[in-house]
Amino acid sequence: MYDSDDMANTDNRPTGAVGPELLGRLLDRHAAALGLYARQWCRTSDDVVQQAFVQLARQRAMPEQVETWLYRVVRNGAISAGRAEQRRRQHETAAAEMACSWFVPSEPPGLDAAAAAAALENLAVDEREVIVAHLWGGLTFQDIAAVTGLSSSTAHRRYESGLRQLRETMTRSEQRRS
Amino acid sequence: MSTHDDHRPDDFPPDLKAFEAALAGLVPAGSRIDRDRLMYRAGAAATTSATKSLPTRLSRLPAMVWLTATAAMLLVTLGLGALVALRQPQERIVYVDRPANTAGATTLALHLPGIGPTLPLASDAANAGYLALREQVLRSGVEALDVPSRPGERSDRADVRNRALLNHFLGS
Repeated sequence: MYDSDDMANTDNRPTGAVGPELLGRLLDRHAAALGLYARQWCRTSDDVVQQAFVQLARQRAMPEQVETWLYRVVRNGAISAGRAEQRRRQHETAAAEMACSWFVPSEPPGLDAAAAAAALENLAVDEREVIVAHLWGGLTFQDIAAVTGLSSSTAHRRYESGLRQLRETMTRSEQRRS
Repeated sequence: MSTHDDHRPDDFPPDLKAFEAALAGLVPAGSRIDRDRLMYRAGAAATTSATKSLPTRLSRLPAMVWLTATAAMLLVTLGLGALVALRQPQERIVYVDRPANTAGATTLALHLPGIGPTLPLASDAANAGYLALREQVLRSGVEALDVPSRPGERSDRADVRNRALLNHFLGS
């Protein structure tokens, strides 16, 4: 996916394995999807994604599968951030929670973005992360297996059951609204 | 947005595929990452990482090796310091070999008044004779050297003997 010109550093300063041009391209292509992926676990998804890119820049050797590597780092960072947020929430008396939008508001006849976000939030995390990584992250089920430690067949099974669950939830909420 | 996936079975029902397609049509909310700040931090992190990874033979040694070596040297230093501080002063007996003076044993005739006949003496014995002579001179003066030390002895012979003895000790 990335050729040798992308991999090479374009200047002679001692830097990591990822050059600034490649870093910029990765940022443009995957930042939004990575942010959505991280939002499953925490609200500070932008910080988590930013930290992942900084960590990528620090690598001495280019990861073999850069996208998979990014998703794995974001996942670990988001889970840690989510735990820290939970601990903070236990100590906070009252706090206005920031609205955290998952999707850009969509126009009909497309799916209602807010409803989809609400349905995803209510979905089990195991199924949700497979759906987000595959649908919006563009990872294959093999890549998802590498990130999560599952087998690709398990990942696919969770994907299918998650989709069914989402469809059911959104259908019910539409019926309630109408 | 999903890519080609060899593991995907074909038995997805069409309505689920339609729902999947509709869901994929949603666009994730834009990232609020400050791109310029991120690139700056990434560049700083990459430079720091590259500087730390400059190969030096010593830096490859684990930190524990240096800590252990430092602790060991500190213990040795403290131990030696305690040893020096607590050591008792000791008297030592040093044996020094003095070369024996064998260059021509000097035979002197020495007559000590009231003691006995003249005996040939080696140089150690001559020292004792010197002390006796000195005693005599201190008691009776230099004139005692002219007095015959044996009764009946001629004074000139006594004089010669005493002067020879005196000259010997004076080194002339």
